[in-house]
Amino acid sequence: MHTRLILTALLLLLPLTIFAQLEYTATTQFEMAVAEKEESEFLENWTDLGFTYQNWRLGGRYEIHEPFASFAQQVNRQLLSHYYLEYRQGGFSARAGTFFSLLGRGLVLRTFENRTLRWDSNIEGAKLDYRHKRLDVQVLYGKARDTRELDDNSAASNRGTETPRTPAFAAGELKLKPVRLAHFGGTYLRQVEESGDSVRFQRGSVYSELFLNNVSIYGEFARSEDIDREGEAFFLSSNISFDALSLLIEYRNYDNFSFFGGKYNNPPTVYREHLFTLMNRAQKIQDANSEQGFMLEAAYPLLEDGYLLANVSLTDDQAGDQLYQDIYLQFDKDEFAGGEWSLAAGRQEDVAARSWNIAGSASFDISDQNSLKTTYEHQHTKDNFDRQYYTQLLTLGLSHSPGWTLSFLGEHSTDQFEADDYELGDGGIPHSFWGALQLDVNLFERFDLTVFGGSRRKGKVCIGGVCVVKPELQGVEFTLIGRL
Amino acid sequence: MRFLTFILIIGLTTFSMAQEKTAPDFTLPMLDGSNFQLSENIGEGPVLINFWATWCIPCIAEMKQLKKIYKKYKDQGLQILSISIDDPKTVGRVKGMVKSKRYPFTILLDTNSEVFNLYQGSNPPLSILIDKEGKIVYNHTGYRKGDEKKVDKMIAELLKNEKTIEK
Repeated sequence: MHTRLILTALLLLLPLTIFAQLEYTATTQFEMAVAEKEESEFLENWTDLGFTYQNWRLGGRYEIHEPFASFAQQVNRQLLSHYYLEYRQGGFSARAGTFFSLLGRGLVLRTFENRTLRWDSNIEGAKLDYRHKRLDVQVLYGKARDTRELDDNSAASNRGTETPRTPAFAAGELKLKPVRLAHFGGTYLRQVEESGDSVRFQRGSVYSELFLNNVSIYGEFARSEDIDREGEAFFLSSNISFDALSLLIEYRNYDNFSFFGGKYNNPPTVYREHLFTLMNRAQKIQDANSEQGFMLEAAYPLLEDGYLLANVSLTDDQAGDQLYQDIYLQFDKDEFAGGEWSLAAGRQEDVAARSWNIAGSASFDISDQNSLKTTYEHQHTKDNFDRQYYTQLLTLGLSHSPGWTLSFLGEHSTDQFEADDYELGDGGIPHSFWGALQLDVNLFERFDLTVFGGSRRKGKVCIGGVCVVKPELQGVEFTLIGRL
Repeated sequence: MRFLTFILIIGLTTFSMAQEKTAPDFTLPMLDGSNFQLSENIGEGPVLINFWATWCIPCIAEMKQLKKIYKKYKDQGLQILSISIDDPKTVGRVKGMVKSKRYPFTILLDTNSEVFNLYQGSNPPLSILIDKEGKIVYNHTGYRKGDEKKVDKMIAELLKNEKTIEK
């Protein structure tokens, strides 16, 4: 009833756009797979509608989720997941309804959306935001959405219209900018609605930022008091540059600091997110309850049209035991042998395995509008049981601007755990293959259509320390994104 | 409900062909810590907003071409606002990349993608071209080699129209 009422109101507003100075926006993302195996079929749609009249905005989102059987702990839902009324004037905004929020660098609170991860931790409530030359202020009150909590019913049978939310909390951030070179701030969050007498959680942080000519530093220290534990977190990030050489130095120490299991805070990971698929699959899942470590990264423009990047990161738990180590080197060169090149090598080690990687990509202009791009990645893995295997990945894409890209995506692995249906090669090594064609088309500058046909390996997808496992797909997948 | 969604999409497509949209105003921090407000910078000439991220391969390829476009038109009033949507985990890399790749644009930080969402972003890169009146005249997502020619042409047309009006 609630959903229908708001949808009807939005539909009634539409004709008014013709007569009044009312502007609207609409965005839709539709994803569907028709697969050989039933458990990898899915249908999902996000449709946003927004109306703007001078400084006012009104809008909402309707979602349909019929996901993979177990993908990202999601259940079947059809619901109005976002709705808002917003006023914006210069650096001031006030919003009632649903919204996202980031306090500091996300140690205390960060709610956000990432559709690849099927992650949406929007807050339902109200938020005031003010950005000025000398100070920034953010104040909010609300309940955050839990997108990772399974309902009592099974995923296949449940058709939910609501998602569970946290108890209500109030939070805020104040940043003072007395001089351009130095900023100081603090964040605070406190639960305000509780069935019992005591406050269930409160957390806060102080931070400072320095902006010198060749050096910038950000440091944040945070403390939390939850009903059953206390925690601390510290994050430091510094950029130093000497002419074109730039250095990034980051350090973090997180002790008992995840907020509802990390659903509502998202402290910086301090290890590299890789651009190449195989290296990114081996990334660590962040645990803000017990992590400490550093990252060093250096970048320098080498040779003419060249760029060299080196990165080292180390993650230990609070007991000092190593959890993850990553060493990475990348060299990019334009205008070489008629193309643009990128070569990379890396070594990753976690508690279960070590992997050595090489990867490269090259793109060539065929004509003014046509180009060819190829990427090859090889990963050799040795686990703690001395089991060794390798995985390689090849992509080949032909693009025509501005209309389309046709790509071949192929993967080969000797990982025996992937080999349900494999052919034995020389020496009895299991070989598994996945291959697909993908067509990306841009239509009328407003729609992007992707059609994927073939097979895709089950695999971990990681973004910022948050990972989900996407099931294997054998079939056809469609994605349509429209912006109106 | 799916049928209703479908009808909505078709209806909106038809309406959207005719409607000229105003670029939503926003305030974002720059790399030196000061704030940038869009409405205070509209009116001088065309503004190209380009949403990108350090982890986005097509974005880096596109920015190389945008450097050439900026060099060509900056004296005629073109502004390029290069908005990084790197989150708190990767935002530390932005300054280093800008320095070592020598990007000459105004760099803004949209660390929780609020402005990206305001401009209906789904995946970067997203390019929005705004005319002198603050109206959106071009909106393109993704990058393929050669896409920059369309942007170049649109900017040249805007500048030509502005000169004609001034005369």
